[in-house]
Amino acid sequence: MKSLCNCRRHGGMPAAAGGERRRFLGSVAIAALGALAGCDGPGSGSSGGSTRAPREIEASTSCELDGMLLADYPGPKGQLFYADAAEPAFFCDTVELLNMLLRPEQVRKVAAAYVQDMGRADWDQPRGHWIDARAAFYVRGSRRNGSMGPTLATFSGEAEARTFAGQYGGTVLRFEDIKPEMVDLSGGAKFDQRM
Amino acid sequence: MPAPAARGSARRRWLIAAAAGSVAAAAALLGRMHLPGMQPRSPSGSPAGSLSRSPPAQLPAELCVVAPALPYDPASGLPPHAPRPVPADARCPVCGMYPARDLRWAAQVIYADGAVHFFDSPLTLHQFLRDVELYSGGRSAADIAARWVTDFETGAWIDAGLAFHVHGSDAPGPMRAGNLPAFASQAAARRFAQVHGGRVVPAAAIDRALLQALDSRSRHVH
Repeated sequence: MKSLCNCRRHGGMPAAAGGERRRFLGSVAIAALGALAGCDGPGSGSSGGSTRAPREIEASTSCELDGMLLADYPGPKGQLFYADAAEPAFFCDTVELLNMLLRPEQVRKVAAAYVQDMGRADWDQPRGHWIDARAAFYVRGSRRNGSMGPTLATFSGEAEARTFAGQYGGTVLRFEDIKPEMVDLSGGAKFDQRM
Repeated sequence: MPAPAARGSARRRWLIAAAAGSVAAAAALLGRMHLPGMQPRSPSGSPAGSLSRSPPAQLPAELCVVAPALPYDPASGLPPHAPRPVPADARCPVCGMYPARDLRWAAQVIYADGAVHFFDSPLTLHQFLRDVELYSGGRSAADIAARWVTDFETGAWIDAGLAFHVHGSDAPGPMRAGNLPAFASQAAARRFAQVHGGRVVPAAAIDRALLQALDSRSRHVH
């Protein structure tokens, strides 16, 4: 797509200069139309439906927990549809999605949860390839970082997960194997209290 | 934590408005984010806060979205360039995070006219300072009147230019991928590094190579 954005990122500033255009950019107009069409398109649950089709990441898509813009950061993302909401909550990292999903105090009913199949999506800029989070295979403890540092890489198939673990390290887990303490986000808070 | 539904619905409204053809109205609905440079290839973009209400004749294929600087509020009672409290809904113009959610890391840049940009951490502040026009929606480094970082030890605001940072400690920072906690004195920074690892770096010594080493963003170029 020919860029109409006046930012330098689209001016093709070389990455080596370190000044890669970092603003929140995106295919707002055209992609938004597509995303909106997807909202009411076939296969997408209308309000009140029991299933929800995954949405796509847009320029302004922000992490539910911390506000980070998903589009500029690497690693698998997550989205979660609560039963009482028509739009998904996006998460910039699988650890954050899983933390939300597995936390003991979670009381909102979850209609659907998606992560990305990193056997197919580009690690640095994952788009699409959404898979059911509960059916995915997870690699924990690999050397590849996500948006928020160490992450859980997600795959649709066990074989791809094992291949990834062979290449980058880590352990292959099923959703049922993931314990809340594995996706604890309070490390930062604990650190602060220790100061 | 703010109700998740609030932000979700904001995004939905934004998408709907964009689809309806009014990108300007969509930007207004996006809360603290806005879209500068409404016209494709405009040299400097629209000044912050002057978004046109009339929809562009043709929607550009891509738009940049940045968090706008928040204007000075004389009613605050604070001098225009003094550090001010971080609003709960302020967004970091570099990464989108809410700086108010982790105040021990927060930073701010105040422009000559008193407008302010808040940052989630010293890292994003320095990424911003390296390339102000890129992130600020039309302002330049010469517009900056004051820069403040939070003293990690005391929580007080300190002049970012005089701060001492620790690079390579076990403090993950808001983005959990390494950061540059700030201290008012070299001695305080050293004490921290003795416990948490890392080395002391004066603010003036933060260079492009250091920022690149800490940059967790995708390396992609369109």
